[in-house]
Amino acid sequence: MMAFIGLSVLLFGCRPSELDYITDYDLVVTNYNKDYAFSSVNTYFLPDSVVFMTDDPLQIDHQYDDEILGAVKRNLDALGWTQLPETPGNKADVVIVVGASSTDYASCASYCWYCYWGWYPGWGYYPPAWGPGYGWGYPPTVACATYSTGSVFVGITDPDQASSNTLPVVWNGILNGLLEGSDASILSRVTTNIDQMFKQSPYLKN
Amino acid sequence: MKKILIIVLIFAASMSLESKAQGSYEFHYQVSFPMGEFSDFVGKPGWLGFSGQWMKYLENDRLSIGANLSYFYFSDKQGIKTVDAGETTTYTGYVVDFTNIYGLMGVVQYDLKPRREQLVPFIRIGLGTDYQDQRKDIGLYEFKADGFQFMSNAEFGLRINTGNTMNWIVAATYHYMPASSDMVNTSFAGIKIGIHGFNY
Repeated sequence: MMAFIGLSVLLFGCRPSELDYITDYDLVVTNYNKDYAFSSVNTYFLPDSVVFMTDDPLQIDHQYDDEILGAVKRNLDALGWTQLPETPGNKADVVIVVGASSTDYASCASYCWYCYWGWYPGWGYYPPAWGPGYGWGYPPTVACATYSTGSVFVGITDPDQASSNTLPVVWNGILNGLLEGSDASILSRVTTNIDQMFKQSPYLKN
Repeated sequence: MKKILIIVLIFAASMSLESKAQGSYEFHYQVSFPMGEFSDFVGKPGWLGFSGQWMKYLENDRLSIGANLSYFYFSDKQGIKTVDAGETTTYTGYVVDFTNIYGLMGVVQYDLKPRREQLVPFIRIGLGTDYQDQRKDIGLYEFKADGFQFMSNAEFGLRINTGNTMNWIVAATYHYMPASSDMVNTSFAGIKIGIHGFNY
């Protein structure tokens, strides 16, 4: 009996309701090399495009590049760093790398519409009589949903510390969220979250 | 809401069946208040808590032993937070913490007055195990720590005998489950009300 009850309750574990806004699903993560002297950085190189981390050319979309790179530059300049043009003879203290990726998700689930209708009273006049309870023999409705997520990566690398064909990343910031809503809304979230990367990294400041 | 109704009905049905055996049975609703490290994980009271219990009196008719089955749910939508995770990592996101706890304990109870008096205070301790499923949602990601833990419980309560076979229970209770399998130490106090039936 106890096992039956335990199993029954186990099946009905609760979880909070879903979040209300798309922005609630945004996540910004930063990480840094604590031994690196960020105070010694004064100049940087910033490429003119965002690198897309995919082999599928259809997923490469540079429509947000200017805004993404603009937000990164604005924050780097606010640190007191100076962007250098990538011309022969110039040497910057750090090289900034900016990347992006997106993933599409699709899933289908059976949707029990009558479960949300409520407890039905039972109809005794149909033979055989049906008692109160849940569950009909009808197949449940199948509901499908698709959504896309996107990530932007910003890295600070020091070319002077390159070794074994590896360029060490001394700081990186990653933002991740749902790629849903209007272009203006997505752009606003991207720039806000790039700002947040730098806001939560006060050690970068000279 | 439907889940709550189903859980209540399962417990009630279970207690009804158990009542056919010799002894007493109880069904409780409990409001719980996280304490200590657990209150850092979920700071808000847990409004969803149920337990069912079957007890049998020993020859000393103030002493009874039995089993207790419980379920508790805590959740805390903490909102957007910036958190240092380790020495060099920081994240900002909407944090939602929640946990489901399923307990099974052996219980010993001592009545401080003869069991048929109108007001019977009692003390009760329980020892057993629980399965807990702690989740932390941040943005689109969910981190899970679950497993079995040692579960202990101490309780002081009052049974109000109505003269019928169905009586009332009110009690102050405390649960403690030590950290295990990446889960945080879990402790919470609670106020419970319940019904008590017997067929001895």
